[in-house]
Amino acid sequence: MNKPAIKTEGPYVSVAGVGITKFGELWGQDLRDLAVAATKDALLDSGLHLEQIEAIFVANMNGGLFTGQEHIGALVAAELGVDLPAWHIEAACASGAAAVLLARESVLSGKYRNVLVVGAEKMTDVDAGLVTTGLAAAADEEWEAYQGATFPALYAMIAREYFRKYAKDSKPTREDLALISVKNHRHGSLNPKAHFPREITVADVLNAPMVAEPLGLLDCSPVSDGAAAIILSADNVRGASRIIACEQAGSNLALHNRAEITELDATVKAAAKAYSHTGLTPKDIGLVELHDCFSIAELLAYEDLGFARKGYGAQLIREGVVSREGRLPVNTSGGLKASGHPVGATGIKQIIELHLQLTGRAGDRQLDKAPVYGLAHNVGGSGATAVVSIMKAN
Amino acid sequence: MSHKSSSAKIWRKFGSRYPYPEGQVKLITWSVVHAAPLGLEDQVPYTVAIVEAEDGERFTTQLVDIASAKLKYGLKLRPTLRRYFTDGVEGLIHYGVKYTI
Repeated sequence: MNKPAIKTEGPYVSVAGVGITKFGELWGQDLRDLAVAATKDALLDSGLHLEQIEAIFVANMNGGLFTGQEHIGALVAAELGVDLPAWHIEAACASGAAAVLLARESVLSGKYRNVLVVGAEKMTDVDAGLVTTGLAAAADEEWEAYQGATFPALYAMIAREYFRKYAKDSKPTREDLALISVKNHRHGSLNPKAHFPREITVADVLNAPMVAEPLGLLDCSPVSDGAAAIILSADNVRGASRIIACEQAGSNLALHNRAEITELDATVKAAAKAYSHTGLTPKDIGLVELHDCFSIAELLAYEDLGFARKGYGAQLIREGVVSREGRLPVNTSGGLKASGHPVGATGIKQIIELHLQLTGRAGDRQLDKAPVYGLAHNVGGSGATAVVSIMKAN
Repeated sequence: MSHKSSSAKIWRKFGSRYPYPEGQVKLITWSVVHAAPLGLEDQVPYTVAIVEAEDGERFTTQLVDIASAKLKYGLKLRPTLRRYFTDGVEGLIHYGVKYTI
């Protein structure tokens, strides 16, 4: 069979500028401060003036619960001092990529030339129980959360079933999951914007307090404040990057209603659409930012995105394929694990990391050889929403 | 959990949530939860599980009165009526079905 033609020269949607705050416990900044700071940096980076922006897409998951603020599209527009159309887009932890998708489509439609996409989350003003409850609301509130299933518990149940189901294939263990956290912290140690820019060991991961067995504290992404912003443009901005595919798929809200517990079928479907749209295959991808909300989620994503056979994802981490020195660097930002997970900002931070690496501007963490194609993968809930984007340098 | 602020909400779910299910279910996967959401702080560690009924339908539930060392894929479980949590904003005590051996 002939390989389909690669179709990456279509209409331009350039990432014309990027801005990102430090991720972490940012006691001095609230939701609006964070969104404005990231936006100002993105505008400065793009060389555009605020007057050239025609619409605003704001990604945020839990502003109402965590900060008391709703109407977040209008909030950001007002803080910037503009009267532009502005929308709040929510798709749980995939809010960021969902906002990118809609913003990109709005540019492709011809309605707007330059738009702002900003994702922000303020999570550390409330106690851990409320954060746990708020995040569990991304699962099925009626049939999962009400039964006491927390978010870590859902991924922990995926991990336990994965260990059982593939015990005869790659023989995955908790040590394999620990290697993923260790790798992401090593990557994140080079990222000054990361929440936890420091290295950890396998022993640290295995000896950490349990959150939801078999996942411990260092199998879980942290609760972070932060914001990330990009300017999308219909222009072919020189020296920038472009998003050549951004595709979304869905699945059952409840994990127990899916045909396979050990596969995020929304990821498989979104990736298939992104590959089909561009004519690319997993082998063409040279860099990945994927959704490692938990260590097991990264392992599943290796398989669901087509980089490993089902049941053999652990080989990629054991053999170093996915480290920054490997053939397919995954999560050079540090991923959600080390870089942090201010929920609404995460999907946009992934696009920014690909943009910086593809254009050779990633600073200390710049890969020796800038890859041609990068892939971003952002998941909402335990896999009820998945968005896969593919980017290249202009 | 304490943000379920309406007794009408609890009443509305009565038909789907409280019928006492017949028969055994099979344990598929589980997790012992140590970091609790609101309202379950006093119950940690507790065990949540995905179980499969004889007709193949799967659902999420809690397991009670089983040592975690005894849990294994395929374990047969039976329903038991238990307290879920107490004294939310609406001041109600929530009951429902959990599973045990």
